[in-house]
Amino acid sequence: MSKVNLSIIQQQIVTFDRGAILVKAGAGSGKTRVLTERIKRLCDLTKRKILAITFTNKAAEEMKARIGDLPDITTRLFVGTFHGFCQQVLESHGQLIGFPEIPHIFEDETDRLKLVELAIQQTPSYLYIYKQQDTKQQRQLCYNALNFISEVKRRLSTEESLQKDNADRDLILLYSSYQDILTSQNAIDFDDLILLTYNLFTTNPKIAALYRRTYEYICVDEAQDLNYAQYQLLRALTMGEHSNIMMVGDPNQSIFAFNGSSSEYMTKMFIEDYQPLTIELKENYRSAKRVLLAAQKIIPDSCDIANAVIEGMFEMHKLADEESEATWITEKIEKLVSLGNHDDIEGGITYEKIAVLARNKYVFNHLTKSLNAKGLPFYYKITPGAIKFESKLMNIFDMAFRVKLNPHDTLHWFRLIDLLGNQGAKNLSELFNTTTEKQYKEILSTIIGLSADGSNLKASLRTLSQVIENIIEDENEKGMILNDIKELLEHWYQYAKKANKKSLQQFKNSMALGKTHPLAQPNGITLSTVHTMKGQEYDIVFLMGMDDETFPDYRAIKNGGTELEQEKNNAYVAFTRSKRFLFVTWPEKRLMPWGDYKSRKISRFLETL
Amino acid sequence: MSILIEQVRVFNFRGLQNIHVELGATTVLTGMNNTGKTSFLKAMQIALGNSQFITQDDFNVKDNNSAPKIIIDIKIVPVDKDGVHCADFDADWEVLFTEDRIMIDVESNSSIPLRTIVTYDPIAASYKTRQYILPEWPQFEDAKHKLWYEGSNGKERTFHFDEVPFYYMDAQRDILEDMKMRSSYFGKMISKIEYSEEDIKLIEDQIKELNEKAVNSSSILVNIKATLKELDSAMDTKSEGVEITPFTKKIRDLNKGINISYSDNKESFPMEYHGMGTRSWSSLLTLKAFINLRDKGAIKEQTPFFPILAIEEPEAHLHPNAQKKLYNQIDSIEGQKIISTHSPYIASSAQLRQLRNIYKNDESVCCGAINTKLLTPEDIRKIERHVVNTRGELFFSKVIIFFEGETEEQALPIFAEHFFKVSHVEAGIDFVGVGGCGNYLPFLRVAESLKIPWFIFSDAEANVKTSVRSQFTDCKSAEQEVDIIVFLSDGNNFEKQLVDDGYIDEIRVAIVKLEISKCSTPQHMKAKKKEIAAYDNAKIMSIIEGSKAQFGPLIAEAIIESNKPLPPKIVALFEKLEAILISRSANE
Repeated sequence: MSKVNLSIIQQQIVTFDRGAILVKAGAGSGKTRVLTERIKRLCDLTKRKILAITFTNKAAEEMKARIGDLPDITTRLFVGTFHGFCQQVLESHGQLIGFPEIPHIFEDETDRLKLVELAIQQTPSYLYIYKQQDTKQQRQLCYNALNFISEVKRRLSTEESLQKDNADRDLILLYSSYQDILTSQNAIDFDDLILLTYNLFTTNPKIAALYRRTYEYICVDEAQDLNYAQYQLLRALTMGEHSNIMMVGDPNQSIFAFNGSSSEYMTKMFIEDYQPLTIELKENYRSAKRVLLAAQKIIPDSCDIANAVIEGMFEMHKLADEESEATWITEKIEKLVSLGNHDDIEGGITYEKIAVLARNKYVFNHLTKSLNAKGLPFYYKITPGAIKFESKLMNIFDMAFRVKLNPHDTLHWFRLIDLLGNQGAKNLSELFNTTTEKQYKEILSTIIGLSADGSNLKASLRTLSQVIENIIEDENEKGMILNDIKELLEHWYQYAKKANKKSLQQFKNSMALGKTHPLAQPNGITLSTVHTMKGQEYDIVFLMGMDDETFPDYRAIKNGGTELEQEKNNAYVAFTRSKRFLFVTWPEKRLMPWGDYKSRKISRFLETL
Repeated sequence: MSILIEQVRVFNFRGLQNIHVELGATTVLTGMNNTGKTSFLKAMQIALGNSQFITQDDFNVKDNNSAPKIIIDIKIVPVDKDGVHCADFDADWEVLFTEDRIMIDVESNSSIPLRTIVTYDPIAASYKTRQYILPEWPQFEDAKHKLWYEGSNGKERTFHFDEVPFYYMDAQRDILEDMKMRSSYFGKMISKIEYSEEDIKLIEDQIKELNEKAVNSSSILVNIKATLKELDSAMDTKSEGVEITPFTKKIRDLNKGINISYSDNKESFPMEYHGMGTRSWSSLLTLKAFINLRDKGAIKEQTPFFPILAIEEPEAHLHPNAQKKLYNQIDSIEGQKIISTHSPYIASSAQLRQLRNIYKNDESVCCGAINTKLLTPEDIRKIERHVVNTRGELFFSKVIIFFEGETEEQALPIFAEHFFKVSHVEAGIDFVGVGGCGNYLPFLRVAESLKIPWFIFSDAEANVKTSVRSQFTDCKSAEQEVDIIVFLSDGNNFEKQLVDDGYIDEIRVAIVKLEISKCSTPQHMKAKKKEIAAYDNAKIMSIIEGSKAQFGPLIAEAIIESNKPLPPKIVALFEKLEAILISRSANE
């Protein structure tokens, strides 16, 4: 495991031993990392357990994955939601409040709506209203009732305290009907989990003490989302004796407001009750300043630059042609990797930390040659499944190809006839006969003419290329189609050299399984289209082929409007995939597949840079 | 601060249909053969050790139906440094067991209510053992007649901790077998022997020297070595060549040849030449050594450690003097000990509160214990002095007859053998003279507590009857007085009753027999006979009452030889006894 770089202030939080600590953490400040590092350290520090509360199961899973495999981690550490923790407590010690076995838990809202509907029907005053309403209003009434009940429970109120508070008689009646229905089904609802655990702790101080001793350290992530019940549960658990609590959260990011949560439990109550050491983590480590500055040029005011601490790097280069663009990138990568270490890049610069992005995959053609020539490791990040054609025409080819191999594939058949606009056709030959558009006719005749063993595939595709060259006007479009055909031939070659007895069917299956892609195994530099990279970040990103009509795509320019807006957003996403260094390049001219050069301009999105 | 298994319940394991046993730091299980002492230990092994030995025969069979599951509940509680039950587990144990095994009851006491269930899985064709933590320790039988095993199992949690090892010492232990097996406690310890580098060199050098000396001092070995040297010429070797080593050469081979010798007086014999008693005892002591070793390790590493030992018949093959020492040797082992025994010596070495009698009543196997909390220290002292120390065999009785005096003690076994046609030992009847009509109570308490059926055969002077009846009340027996106490006719003692019952001639015969043996000449004998023939009843009474012990067997034999029916009161006693013996034998 590589050693993790922590700032002094982060280090201070990680090594904080005993007592309460509040960490106010801004976006990208590395709070999850600080939290997991601290938990790892605490695991070494105590023989007892650590309770790490998150607000969603997904967050819990992520935290577990980050903590990784420590010895007896599963028994020493509870990572989960408040509800998960309460469920475990009730499973173990619920018998003291009358639950020797944990009852059924209604967590699904639709289930609870059913229950509340029953409760309404058992409460005369509401039943009267309910009967006079239409379905939509009834539904709203149920929601309101459910919210009321939930709110009562989140206030940790009981029926008795409701009565004491002089609540409306009908409300009390509704509440108790709902509870009776639950009890009669030996069930509790989601809110009860916390309410019951709170009751267990407060009525049986020895149980609370047992858990207090058991969980020597408590960490609450996203503490800005705490609500009253959850906070009181923590109070009941710690009971003023135990104060090894850590709360981490971003007061500006409270998003759960609908369930009674408030960042004040973290920013006010916690400070009053526990006098924690308060530390603010403002610094943004997620992205480098220079990269953010560049991204802001594409979409203004999109990111918070003030707190970014890492300088990073942003460069933009115009190269004479695609070949020199590829050479430049290859040499830059070589240089970076041979540099080995850079203060901004944690754990040193390796091929694995580098990604090259482009709008479509054919932009990489020259780069792959150049990387191969230098022997640098790389792979294509592909979405699993068959190859994705970039051009519309070859997508039609793909559909027709599928239908040819499987005439029962109605899904693709309907999409095909829909695209070609002749609904009456029954099969491919009929479709061919009724189609008038020349380029589609060419595609269909090529498909129909393919022999099942693939023996004429190569020749047919070559012929198709020549025809396309002559009939397609738009040079961008033409280039895209020819690249698609070349790509398909490349896959065929990968398949054919390994297959003993060839068939188109088998070829299609091999493609679907990703077996025909020469470089699909993750290893070295990542080459990826912007679309397949969404949601992922790399320390060093090269964004190549940033010439207009490549990015934005020529089709988006033609269609304008939302589509172009989308492209702009894509460009922004592409920029922000970089955490540290971003290099943007574009060629002044492109060699088209048929041998002509076409001169290019810089992408319209980058004109301001 | 430590822990203790406080209670064990077993359901449907072998002959144990439903039994509840409370345990202390040391518990001694007594009882007749085949009552279920070993089964009880084996049930504990399932819960705390391993359950691989289980077969279909381990499931209780009732009315030809085999039970579908075996349930074993064990309650583990925290104890303070004096071994007294306390409220909470200390930190080390709490950390080990974790909060999901520790239950807190309504009185705020912590415990681990562990349930183990064994079932047969017909698909996997194997036995499954599952463990659960009960939501609470159930009552044995609650107000609604729900039995402990009928409630909820709670959540599934295993209970296997290296810190709480379970050791089972079966009756067939033998140090010779242990020495051969690496998996025995002995083997495990030997395999852990480690020496420092210097020590190894030192010892191996000494062995080398020893080997050279042994070879060079023997002309035979020298000759063998010299001759074998001829190998060198053919093998073309430049190394040392032939070597003869009477003693093992490498220190790592030591454990292969390790041997234990033991001398009773002058000669020392290796274990092979010792009897099973010494070998069995040695095996037990190596377990003790093994546990000591682990205990020391635990203290050093500051980890909790609580071994549980189930020891089957530690007295096996040992002579009485050794048996008397065994108890203290076992009692001083760290952890919790459960000992099954047939040895009165071990039973009488134990403290009263440690004794558990496993017995079969009409329906099933149960456990009897002496509740010392209900007794005064004086009561306990009396029981220990009068019952435990002198009458250890009582713990293994099938049925006990108590009475006051010596004549009965001598005479009753003879009558019993005549009546039952087997010796009283074989029938499992113990005859116990309590030494005075005021001394019944401690004996009755023991018999009652341990659920051993008992009878009183009592004299019937008015004051005696009053005293016996009051003691009967104090012992709180569930039986009716008429069913278990036989009084002689009012005002009589045993001797007077015999006279009243018309056995005066037989008594005279007994007196003659005794007196004649003292006469030196035939004339003297003749005169003595004549003299005795003239004795009146009063004289005869005074003679036999003067030396009861001597006359007891003689009178009994005379009555039997006379072919007269047995005295009616004795017949009445034996008939009551017979009913018990028949019902108990039917259960075996």
